[in-house]
Amino acid sequence: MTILSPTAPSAVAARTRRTPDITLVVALLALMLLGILMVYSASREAQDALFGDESRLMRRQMIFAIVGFVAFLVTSLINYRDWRHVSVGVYILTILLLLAVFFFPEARGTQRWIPLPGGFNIQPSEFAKVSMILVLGTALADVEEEGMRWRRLVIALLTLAVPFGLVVLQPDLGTALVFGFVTVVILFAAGASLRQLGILTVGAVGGIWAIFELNLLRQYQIERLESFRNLGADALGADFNQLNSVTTIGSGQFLGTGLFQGSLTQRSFVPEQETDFIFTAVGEQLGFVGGALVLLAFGVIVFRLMRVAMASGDRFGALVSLGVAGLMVFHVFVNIGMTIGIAPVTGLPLPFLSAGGSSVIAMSIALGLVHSVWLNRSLVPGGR
Amino acid sequence: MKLELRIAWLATIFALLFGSLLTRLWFVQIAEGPEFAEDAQSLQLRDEILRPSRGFIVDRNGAILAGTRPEPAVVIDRRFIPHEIEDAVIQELAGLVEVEPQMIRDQFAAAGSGNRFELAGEVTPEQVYFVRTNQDRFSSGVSIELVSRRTYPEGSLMAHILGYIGSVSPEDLEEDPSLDPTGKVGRVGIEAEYESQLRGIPGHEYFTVNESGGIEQRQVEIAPETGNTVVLTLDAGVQRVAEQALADGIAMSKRDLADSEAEHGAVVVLDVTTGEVVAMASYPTYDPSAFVTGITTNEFTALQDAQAFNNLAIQGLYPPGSTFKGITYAFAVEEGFWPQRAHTDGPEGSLECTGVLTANSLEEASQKRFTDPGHGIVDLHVALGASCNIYFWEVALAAWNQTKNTPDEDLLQEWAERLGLGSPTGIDLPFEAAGQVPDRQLFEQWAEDAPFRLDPSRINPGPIWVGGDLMNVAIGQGEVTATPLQMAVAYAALANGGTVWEPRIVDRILDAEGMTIGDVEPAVAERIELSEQFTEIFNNDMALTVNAEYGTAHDAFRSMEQAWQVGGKTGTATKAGAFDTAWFVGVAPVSSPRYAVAVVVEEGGGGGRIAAPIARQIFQHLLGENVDPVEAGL
Repeated sequence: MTILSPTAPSAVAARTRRTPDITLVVALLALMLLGILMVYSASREAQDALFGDESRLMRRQMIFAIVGFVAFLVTSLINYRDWRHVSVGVYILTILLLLAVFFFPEARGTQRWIPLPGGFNIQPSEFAKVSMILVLGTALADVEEEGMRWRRLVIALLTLAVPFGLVVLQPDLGTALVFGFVTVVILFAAGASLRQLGILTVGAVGGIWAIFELNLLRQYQIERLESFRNLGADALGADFNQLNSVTTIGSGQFLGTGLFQGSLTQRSFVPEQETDFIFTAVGEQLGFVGGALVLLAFGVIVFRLMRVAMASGDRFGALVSLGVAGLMVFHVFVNIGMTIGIAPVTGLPLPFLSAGGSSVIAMSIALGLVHSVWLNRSLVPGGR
Repeated sequence: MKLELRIAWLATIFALLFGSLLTRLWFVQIAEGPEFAEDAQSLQLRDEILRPSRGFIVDRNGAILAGTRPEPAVVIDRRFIPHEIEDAVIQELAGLVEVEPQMIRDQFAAAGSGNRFELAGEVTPEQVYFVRTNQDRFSSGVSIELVSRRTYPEGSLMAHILGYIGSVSPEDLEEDPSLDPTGKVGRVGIEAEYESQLRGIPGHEYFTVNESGGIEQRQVEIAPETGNTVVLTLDAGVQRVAEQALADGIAMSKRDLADSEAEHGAVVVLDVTTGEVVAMASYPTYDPSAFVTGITTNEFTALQDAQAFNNLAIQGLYPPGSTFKGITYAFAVEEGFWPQRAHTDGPEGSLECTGVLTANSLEEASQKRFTDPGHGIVDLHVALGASCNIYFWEVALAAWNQTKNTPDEDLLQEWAERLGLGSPTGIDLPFEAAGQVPDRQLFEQWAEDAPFRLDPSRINPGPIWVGGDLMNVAIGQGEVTATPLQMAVAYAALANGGTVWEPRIVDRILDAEGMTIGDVEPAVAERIELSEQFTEIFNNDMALTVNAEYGTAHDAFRSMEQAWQVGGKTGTATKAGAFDTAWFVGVAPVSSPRYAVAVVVEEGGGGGRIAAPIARQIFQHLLGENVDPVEAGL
């Protein structure tokens, strides 16, 4: 039997503080790996036809996953509290990047991308989702439990208004909705009353009404929103993608048709099936089992994020963790919901699975932030 | 509410959202899964291919060079033409489009039974009206539909680079069975080289089918995906000036020179800093629209006889004449070979050019006496500006005397080859010619394989290769041949400090919505180590051609304000039994070179007289001046 020295408890504490969240890391890596496989499965025919190189998009996705995982590790190792001191800089950088897209030519009717050498493109709005969580977390970290003053709430909303407006102008409706949802989550967690949130919701609905009235939306966005309302009414109308997607997923049934064996996804039956509609490939080829496992992996991640929020013992850490959890939940719900017909087609990627670098890297950074909260949490509840 | 309670509330909401996804997934895949699977099955029963729109070709500023436009076409669907009345329908169609019934019958046969295809030829509004009002005469298998047609909004501009499209042939199908047998594919130029990018992805129309196999209902339509856009490095504005200047120059040659045989010519404008082709013209030209709806055999033969389909900028092989002296110049300076008669070695060592050079022996040269107009006292600088053959012959003679029968005896040819002559430059266009730089090895090979190509006296008594042959190479005569693009690449390298570019004509590929999906990066074919001062001295000496009183292009550039910013070299390639071929290769601005321009007019006359005025117009445009009309130089 050994006799504990007086310094032993803190040594144990120090070690506990540095234990990584293996469950989170495993879930992240599993989703990234599945993403690479599904991108390959969904894109190889088209890539072969276009470039004579069926694994082109998959190789790019592998690079993105590796960069994303490195970004996750690096963010994990930076003490999340340090971000509070540079949040103004992060905010300004975000706005500059969101402005920069307007200096590049329109693509797909929108201006969302900054082209980089080598045929890569960076999409600042993906990163803006993460930086806005940091900025809001900083702004609202020291709200008292008794409630939030209107003044502070309005300042927080005004801070958000600039990037929000830029995203709407691109136009990127999906990201604007993400901003809205994450903001509500953080405001609620930071102590806003239900009455305040109710008034905000009424204001937002009025704002959306104004957007429609003032014709701020592009025609294709209106069509997408409207197609959601009468799904199945017109097989040849604007809601093809969604109907095709539901049929494809449904045909996968319990076990799916087998990886790389999707008879519909292999024929590019669903447009955008390697990006926004990647879940159709999962649904058809891996069936209900595969789809449920993907939901489970995301569920595990969200559960770990909530646990970090509980355990952080620091309001800033808790708000960031909850913001990232809200971000994850919203993306998963809207994206998968879109493919199975219970959410509108808004063009949000499925984190870690959809082809595309900015999304993978930004989401990895977001998880890295929360992981840093976990690694640097105070062991004494309520401690700073 | 405490934070912990708020977190619990959020967790509940999140869990509900996940739960609803799982429930819906169960509903779609398990409860209704078999039904959807059946739907998916039936969707595969009938599959109609929807033809995609061909991708665009645009210039570096986005101007459309090849686009598409919806146009009415007569579409035949053989499934809806009962077999008994097929021949009657064919007769009606032949009357409609005014061709022999056999031509229509051939198209029916080519499409195969049970297929849809587009009847060849343009459709007039009257024909559209006639079909619509007389549907009963044609059966329901004949309809008027809008199809996507290739258009070339700039007419013949850049025709040689864009190329054209043609109907898919049985050979094409053998090579790629996935092709639409009734579609079109690129035949030459960018249309052919980038076919896979431009083609697009066909869409599908899926039908449910009733018990007897007939089509019941159109179920789902997957829109075809428009082909990618190919962005060229070319500038339509510069191209327009280059094509006009070339055509005007050729007309001028025919008008002013009695012996002119000018029918063909080419221009290349290269960015010496990136290897991008800014303009590339070939004369005569044609309008690629002619191929979209079909071209008659007579029209095709006439164009072919005029070599209108050849892109002479990369396929035309000409002796470069005195434009080769730029290469001999670099060889002299960098390898240190100087005329024996010069009072000192080096660029400033001068000699008196009396117009006559006498060789010591026939072993040394192919003849004993060489003549050329006398230029008085010349050093390297004056020799380039005045294009003094005597001086460059003496450089070659000095090299010959010092290196003959040693491994170094073809050092001059090696310089030419390293600068890109004698092999294709690697530009991304089909059918590029290689050209040749002769040396002892080539002549010995000819003596073996093709003795008719050599003068009999070379084989018996010999020798096969003599100093006079090297002298010929030094001034770009004899068996040296090069394309205008090769000369532009070589001069670009001498002017930019030694970078030999693999020139490129495609800048990047965009998808149909304008997203960049592929960049073509500049590629260096060879980096030549040049001495520190070389490029500056060479560029200044090229400027003498244009600006010195004795310069061979001085007169051609007299109307240009910024002529002092232009340098170049004229060339007049002579060939027994043919009129002279005119060359000009130059760069601007000489203070910091950006563009290299090569101009050739086959059998058009003197370089300074015919080619330099064409180049002058292009340089005027490149340097932002108004373009003065072409006028023959002296």
